[in-house]
Amino acid sequence: MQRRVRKHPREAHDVLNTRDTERTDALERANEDLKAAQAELQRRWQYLAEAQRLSHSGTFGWKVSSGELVWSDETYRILGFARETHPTLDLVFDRIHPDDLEEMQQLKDRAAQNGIDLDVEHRVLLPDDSIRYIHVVAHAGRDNSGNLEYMGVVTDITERKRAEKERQALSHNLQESKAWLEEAQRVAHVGYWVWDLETNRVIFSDETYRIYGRTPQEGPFDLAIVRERIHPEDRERVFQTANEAIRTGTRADCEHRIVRPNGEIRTIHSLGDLKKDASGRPYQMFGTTQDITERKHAEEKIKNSEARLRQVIDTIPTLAWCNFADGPNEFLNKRWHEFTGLSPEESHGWGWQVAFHPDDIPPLMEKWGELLVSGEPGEIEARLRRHDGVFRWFLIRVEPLRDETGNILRWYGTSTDIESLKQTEGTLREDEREVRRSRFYLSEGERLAHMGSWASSGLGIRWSDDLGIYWSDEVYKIYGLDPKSGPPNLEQYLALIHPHDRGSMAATLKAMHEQRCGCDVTKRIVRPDGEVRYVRCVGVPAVEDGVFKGFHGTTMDVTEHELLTQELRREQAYLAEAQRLTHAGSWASNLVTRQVFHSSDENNRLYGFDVSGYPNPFELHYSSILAEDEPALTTKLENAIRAGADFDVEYRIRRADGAIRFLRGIGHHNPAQEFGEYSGITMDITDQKHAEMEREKLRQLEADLAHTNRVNMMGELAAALAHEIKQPIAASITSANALRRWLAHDPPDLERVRAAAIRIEQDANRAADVINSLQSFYKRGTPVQRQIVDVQNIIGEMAVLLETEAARQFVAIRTEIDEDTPNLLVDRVQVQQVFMNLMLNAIEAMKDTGGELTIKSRVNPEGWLLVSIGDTGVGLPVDWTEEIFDAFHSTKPQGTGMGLTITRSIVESYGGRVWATNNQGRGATFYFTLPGKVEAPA
Amino acid sequence: MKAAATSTVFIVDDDRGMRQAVQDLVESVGLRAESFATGQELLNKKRTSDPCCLVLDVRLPQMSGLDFQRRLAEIGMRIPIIFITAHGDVPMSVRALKSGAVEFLTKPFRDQDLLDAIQQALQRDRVALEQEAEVHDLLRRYQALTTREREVMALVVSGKLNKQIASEIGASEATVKIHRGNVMQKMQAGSLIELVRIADKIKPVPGR
Repeated sequence: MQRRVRKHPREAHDVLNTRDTERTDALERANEDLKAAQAELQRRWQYLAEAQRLSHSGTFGWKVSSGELVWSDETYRILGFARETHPTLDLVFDRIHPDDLEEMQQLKDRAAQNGIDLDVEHRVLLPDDSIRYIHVVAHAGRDNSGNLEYMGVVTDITERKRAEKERQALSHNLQESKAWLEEAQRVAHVGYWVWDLETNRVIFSDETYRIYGRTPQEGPFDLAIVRERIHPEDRERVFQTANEAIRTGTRADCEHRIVRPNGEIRTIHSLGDLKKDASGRPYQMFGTTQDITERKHAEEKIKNSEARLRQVIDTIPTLAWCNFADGPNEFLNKRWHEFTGLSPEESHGWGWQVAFHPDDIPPLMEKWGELLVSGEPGEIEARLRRHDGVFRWFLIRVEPLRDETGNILRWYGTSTDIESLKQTEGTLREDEREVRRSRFYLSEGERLAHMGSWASSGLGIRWSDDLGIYWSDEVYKIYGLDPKSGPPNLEQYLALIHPHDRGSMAATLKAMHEQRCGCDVTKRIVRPDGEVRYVRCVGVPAVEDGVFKGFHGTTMDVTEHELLTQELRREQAYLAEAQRLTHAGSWASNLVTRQVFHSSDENNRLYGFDVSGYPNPFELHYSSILAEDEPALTTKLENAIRAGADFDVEYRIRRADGAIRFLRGIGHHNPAQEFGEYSGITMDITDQKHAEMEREKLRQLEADLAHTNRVNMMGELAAALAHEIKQPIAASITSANALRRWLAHDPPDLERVRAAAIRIEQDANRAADVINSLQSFYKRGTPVQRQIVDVQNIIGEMAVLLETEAARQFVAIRTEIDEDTPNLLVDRVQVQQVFMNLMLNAIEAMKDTGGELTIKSRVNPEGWLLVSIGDTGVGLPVDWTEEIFDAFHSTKPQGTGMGLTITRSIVESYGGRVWATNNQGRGATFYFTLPGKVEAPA
Repeated sequence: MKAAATSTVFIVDDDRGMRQAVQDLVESVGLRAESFATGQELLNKKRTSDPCCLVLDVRLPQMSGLDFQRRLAEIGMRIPIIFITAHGDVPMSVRALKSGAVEFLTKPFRDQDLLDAIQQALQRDRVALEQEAEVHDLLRRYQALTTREREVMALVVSGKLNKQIASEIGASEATVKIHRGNVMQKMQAGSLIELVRIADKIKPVPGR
């Protein structure tokens, strides 16, 4: 069209040229053809005008120099001017669309100057405000005078522009649609393919490539390659299906697997339709390919879970079933069939009824009918016949399944074997009454006994704060808590325990938990009001059918009991201590049956036996009594028993260690007790006995010594008095001497003489007084009494007497007595005094150092008894003299100075001698001799 | 009797009669006498430079006469003692005399025995006092010596020759001679023998 349009100007040009030429030629050559030619021209002009009109093309001519414009009719129309209008350039520019105006002005100026050919499109704005697209083509030429002129064509291309736009939009839409399709294919995993049956070439869509794991650049493929990609196991089937479709002309429909280049297997669904040519011969198969791998998997899963569900339904240990909304059965699980032995066919519909006990069918059907009407869930018990003909009770539960609108779709139900339950139900009912009664008794009993019970389902099973503790009401009461507060958790429980016992209780609980061992502990608790109570808690593991279930036990308030026990224990301890201190044991025994009810530790200790191994220590105790004491003791006891009287006896026993001990037994018979039953105490009085005997001896000795002292006082006093008398006498003499000298003075100093005379008188009187006092003492003197004395005995006595004093000074006394030591005829008291004086001196000598006092006695060749008393003390002074035996000579601060004097005077009175020597080592030894051979008193 | 007038007899006896009798007897021969019941009372008395003696009873309460004698020696109080006792014996008297007692008399004693003993004791004290005075004088002279002179004197009395002394103290013999001359002059010794005697007398107290 365009080409044809563009021909026109050239033709027109030619025509115009031709007209000019013809005009010239006609003038020059001939006029005959003019008319014909004009007609022809006219005709052609009309054609042209018509052509212009049809093609919406007008022509124009423009003489640049004159500005003259020539338009064809169509040009007028295109530009929207009336035919009468004189065309000018200004008019043309009036019409040009403002947006194109500037460009067109410039083009006009350029054209006017340079005479270039024009080919331009622009818009015009018509008076009706419509916009038209104009295509202007013009050729620049020169007229004869050489002036520049243009001849051109104006074409309204508005329609064409619109069509072009529409086409562009359409094309855009198409491309978009194609993209969408591709996208849809991709999303739906659907691709298409085209199989040319003649060339066996296969074209894939993008998605198909993608499904096959390929890129579009690789295709199209040869059929063999496509074939390769199909899973080997599915390959034959796919092509069989395809061949079958080609043979029969039907659609090919096939699911098969493909293998992607990376080895991945996908499952695809392919559909193929044949395309046939005019002769009906198939030349092409067009098909789709959908990747259904995911769907397949999902289907597989569903299939699996369905199977599992079925398995579950068949496996659950209950009979499960499903009925249609109106009653008949749809499904019974495998268990049901196994139990009843009925096949699905037999049980189908209402066939299941035969499985029930005939007696139970009427109520069963009645109930079922009610449920069907009410549409409510329900349950009913009925007997179901087992495959072996045995009926068992079942609990049947049924529940409706409804759709969204509430219509019942199905009834689902289960039947549970409750035969054993049924059987135990009767027993249970009885048991429950019993339990209720027991619980009442128990709580009442707990209340009375201050004993509660508890259980823990957690302890031993799990170790957490919550041990699943249960407390009976009484336990709460014991702890001073409100039962409504609920049982405590572990932490709360421990908080209730007295701080001193808390640690050990926590340890006990831990041990119970870890070892599942029982407990029996008494601990203190603190009630909320602060009161401390003693609580005994006994727990034992609860085991049912060999399975550990936890712990249960009792809690008892033992405060009173505990306090009493503590008090008793304390008293017992005091008593035992008292018994130990007093060497007194307590006992209770039947002396007739010889049964011992009680024998305190101290009592056993007194006898020196460990009686722990002897159930009845009576014989043990009795057999230890000394044979010589036993008869008298037995007599006394028998008399007491016969009379039902108390007794108080002393006897000796030989203890297990061989020691002889004095015991005193005091028994008391309570008339309320049985015959021969006594309780009492036994005391070890050995020391007391010994002390008594010692005291007796010492008392004697003391008396003796007092006597001796009295006897010796004479001698001592004689010495003392001698001094007392000498003093005044010496003073008298001296005064007399002085007096004489005062008299001899010239003149005699009579004053001094008289003073001296007075002093003489005084001193003489003083001497007389002393002698008078001596006389009065002398009268009381006691005569010496000689008797046969056992020296060994005396030495023993003195050793005992001075033992305490010696021990006080850390002095040990040792005696070496010759067996031949003779008896002496002496005054016993005097000899005791000799020993005492010498021994006391020896002890005194060792008082700062301690040491050993040795007493030796033997008979010397002359037949005298020689006694030595040695010490390891300070010894005698280096320059000691016999003076030490003199009266008033004392080296001791508190000494009288008379000890050795008396000693000597006594010894010498028997003709004996006394002397002393310093030892080789430490200390000194005093010796004395006494006549040994004594025949008869002198 | 000038000496007698300045001499004092102290008497310690716990027996008042005996004490008074002895004092009376001593005074009857013109001697001064002071009597005390205990030794402690005597110790409180300041000793004069006049001759004196002590008549002491052996048997005294608290501290015996013999113990008191030891006590006096310990505190350096030198006084001649005459013991009197009513119960004396030989060992006791021996011990007393060994400890420096002038006499040990047993009561009752002859008055002349006591008075003789007193005279003897006073004489002994008098001599002792003179000796003490002489030593005191010698010591005063000795203290006038220079350290060098004392050094030279010690060497001289030990019998060293001037030459030896010179080499020992590191001085010339002439110097030693001068020191020696000074020593002789200051110590008022006429001869070497006299100097040796003087040195002997002050020897027990070389520290002074």
